[in-house]
Amino acid sequence: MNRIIIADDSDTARMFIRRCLEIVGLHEAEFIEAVNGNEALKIAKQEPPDLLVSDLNMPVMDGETLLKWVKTSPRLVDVPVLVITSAGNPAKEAQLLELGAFAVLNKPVSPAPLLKVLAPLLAEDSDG
Amino acid sequence: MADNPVHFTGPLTDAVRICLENMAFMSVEPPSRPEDCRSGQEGYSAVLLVHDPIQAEMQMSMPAAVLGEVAASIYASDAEELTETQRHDILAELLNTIAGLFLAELLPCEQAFRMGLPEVHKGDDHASEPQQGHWFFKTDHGCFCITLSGPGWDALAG
Repeated sequence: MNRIIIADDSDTARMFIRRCLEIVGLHEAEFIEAVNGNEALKIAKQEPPDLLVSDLNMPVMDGETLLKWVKTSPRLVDVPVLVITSAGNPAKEAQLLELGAFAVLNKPVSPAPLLKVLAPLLAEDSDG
Repeated sequence: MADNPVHFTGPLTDAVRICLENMAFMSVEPPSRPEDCRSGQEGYSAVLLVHDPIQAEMQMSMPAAVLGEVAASIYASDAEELTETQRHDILAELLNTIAGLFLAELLPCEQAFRMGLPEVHKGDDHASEPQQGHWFFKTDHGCFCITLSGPGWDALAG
């Protein structure tokens, strides 16, 4: 994975997620940060990322709307979307997976669960 | 502390511990003497509204010195190097994360919930609703407080 977009309105959350992604082996990736879903969507449309990590609760455009846009855009439909949220529970997770999220993790994120959900993508990277 | 609704204490303590241990690598405990935490030091407060399935308010108040140490730990830098904006953002993200963990623990797993965006103020007490209680927590650097306000919390009582 070379190009990763992190969408979260919190500087702290973006820094923390980036640090965890680096720890699980993505330290050479290019990280592009967005402060809401709309900004992330614009960046993704310019050049589709290899992974989109998004919060749910953001101003302007929330993460669920961003997910719907990505999964209905022919150019972006294959981009894996990892949702990292503080408002997650089994009901919300099921709803987001139904909408096409690659995986859903609860805040505070830590390297171990991140590595577990990203393992298939990291394996594809090492195979390819 | 004796007047706080007891059914919130366990889930709130767990949420605070998980958040601070994961994000700031800090251990947190309820203080043995909560009255010692009422310091009156200058500080910051973050307020977050719960929109669904209840309407309620959660506030986190932290003295500036404690927030500085927490922020320094999260950003792995000296407290003096952090900007006011970074400190606000960290307090907001801590409250956001704690509120999510707390609600996920209290609500049935099939019940989704929705929260507003946290707002940070300088000063201690901005709770606008009748308060359910104050819960104090102690770090190596001092105490901070979480306040639950509003009648909406009654729906989750036990």
